[in-house]
Amino acid sequence: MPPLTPKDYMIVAALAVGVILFMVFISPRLIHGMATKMSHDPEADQLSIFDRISLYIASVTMCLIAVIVAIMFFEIVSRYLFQRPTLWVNELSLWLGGMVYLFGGLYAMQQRCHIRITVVYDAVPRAVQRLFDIISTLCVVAFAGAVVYGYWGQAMKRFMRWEGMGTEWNPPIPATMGPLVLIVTALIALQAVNNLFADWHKDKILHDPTDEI
Amino acid sequence: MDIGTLSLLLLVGILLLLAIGVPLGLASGFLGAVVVYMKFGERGFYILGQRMYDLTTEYVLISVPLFIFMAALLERSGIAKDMYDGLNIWLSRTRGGIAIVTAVMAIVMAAMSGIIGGEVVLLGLIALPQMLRLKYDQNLAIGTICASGSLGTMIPPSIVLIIYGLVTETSIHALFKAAIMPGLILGGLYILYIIVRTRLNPLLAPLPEQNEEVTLMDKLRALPKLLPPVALVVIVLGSIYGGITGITEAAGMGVVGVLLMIVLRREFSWNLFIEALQRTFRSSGTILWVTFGATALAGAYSIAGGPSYVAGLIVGADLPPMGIILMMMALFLIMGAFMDWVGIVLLAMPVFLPIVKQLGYDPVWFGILFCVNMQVSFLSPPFGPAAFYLKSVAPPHISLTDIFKSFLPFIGIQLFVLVLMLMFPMLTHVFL
Repeated sequence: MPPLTPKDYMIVAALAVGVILFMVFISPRLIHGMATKMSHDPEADQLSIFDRISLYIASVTMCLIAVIVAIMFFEIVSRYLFQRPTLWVNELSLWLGGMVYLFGGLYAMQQRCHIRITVVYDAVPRAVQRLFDIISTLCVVAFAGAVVYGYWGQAMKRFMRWEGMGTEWNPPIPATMGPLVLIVTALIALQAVNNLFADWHKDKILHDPTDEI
Repeated sequence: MDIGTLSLLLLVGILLLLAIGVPLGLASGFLGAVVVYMKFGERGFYILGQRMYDLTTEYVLISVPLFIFMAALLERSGIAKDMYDGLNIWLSRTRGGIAIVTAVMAIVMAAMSGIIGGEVVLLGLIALPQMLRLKYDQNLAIGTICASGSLGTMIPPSIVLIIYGLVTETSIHALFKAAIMPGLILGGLYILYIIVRTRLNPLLAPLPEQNEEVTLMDKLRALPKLLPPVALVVIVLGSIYGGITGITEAAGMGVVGVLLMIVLRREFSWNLFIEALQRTFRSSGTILWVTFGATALAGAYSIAGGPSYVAGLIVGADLPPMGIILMMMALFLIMGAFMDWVGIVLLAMPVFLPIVKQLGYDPVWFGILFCVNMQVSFLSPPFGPAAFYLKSVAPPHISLTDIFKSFLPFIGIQLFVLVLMLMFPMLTHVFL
């Protein structure tokens, strides 16, 4: 395996700087329009602060999918055209991919499109639906609580030691993804509570299975 | 609490929570927390986060959003429409030609991407109006679109097989190789069915009026329209089977290929790109969070000793090995009528697969059987997703009951292939 060249470091650093610049300077300007576009909701003005946070994060993290494609293409080209495989593409896509899976769940929660069975739910009156919503939210909160409680120690340990992958490039994936699992799970629980309140006074809507997937 | 009571509690719990509409992934995560708490107390909660973390570092999982992205881009481009037009010139003078074109197109598209939904919608938009205009039998038209449109998860690359491989630690490469033959048999039988039905009863598929002769020149001129899809299949499947890249990188190259074609065709716009990203992000989130929740539950149930308990029960029931497999198939079909495939893979496989291995069967073969089962589940009432996808784009006079009725012969074909696979496991070894 060839050692990591300064050029590789520069490319990774440039990517990181690009994402940070995008988050700090460009995306806030898009945020209102983005929130409306991302939420698919004509009444985007009524979005709560939690909705806005979720949508904002989603608008940034969804671009990571495109970044993964771009760096993979770079890897293939440099491997087959220039016989110079990179050391960082695999691990960077692993890292970005992890963020995509996790935050995708937060977006799905905001969009209320997590896979669920709605036969009974659609058949009962709105008052019973509210009861179901409460139980559902309690489940989510309890699950998030258990995950955070149980994994907190391990995640903190990895974060404090800044644990890397132990490879040539050694990205701090274990150090960052552990805490991120906890953060996203907690955010999903918050979003679920927010949904409970936001949907409380909404009228009954029938679910169309085509919404899912 | 002993594992028997715990298993019963889990079964009742999952049925109850799913019935009242708790999201599948989060319901399983919650039950995972309950199981470890009952068995080990608070210190058991550790396993939930650990399993979720492990999943985030799974390299092949990246191929899931990438394949979805590829499909989302394809749907929004005119590549598929062009392929349809091209095939039409070749086949429209044949009896049942448009139905055959639909099936062929579905098979080619299935070899490019690994999901269903988009494909059914696309075929419903392109092929259904034309078949109805030519007074094709409505049932034949709808059935062809939905059954062949579902092949996306049967013919490799397939997201069902990727997740199955991950959960059961089976080689996804081997699964992809094994799925080719069954997938092609299924697609081939659909085409055969169309040909036989329309020959026996020509009224089912009237020929278009002979206004102008299609010359050989026209046919040759239509060929370039077929090139882009074929090129994409070569990029994706070629790099997987040719061993040039792994599955994940092949998915990435597929995305690059589609993007390139969209740009060359001057169809690219940022709006299209952002919309495709959004759809991809949302679909990945929903699929992967079922995976997260279920992996937490599976982890919890495993350390509590659940799988070996259930395995003991089933093996102890003194059924012949094939009887056990048949029972599992029946369970898949029943679950498939009510649940999404992701949920079934993640909830049932950790329990079923150790039994399958213990009985001495090949996990690859079992994965293919499961995949055929899921083909049935896409069509089976009351929740066959293919029906709802088609309903969303079909003319309003076509009711859901009409749609499900038209599926019956195709479900018959799928069950026939299932039996075929059960009887001749060697069909999965053709390319090994």
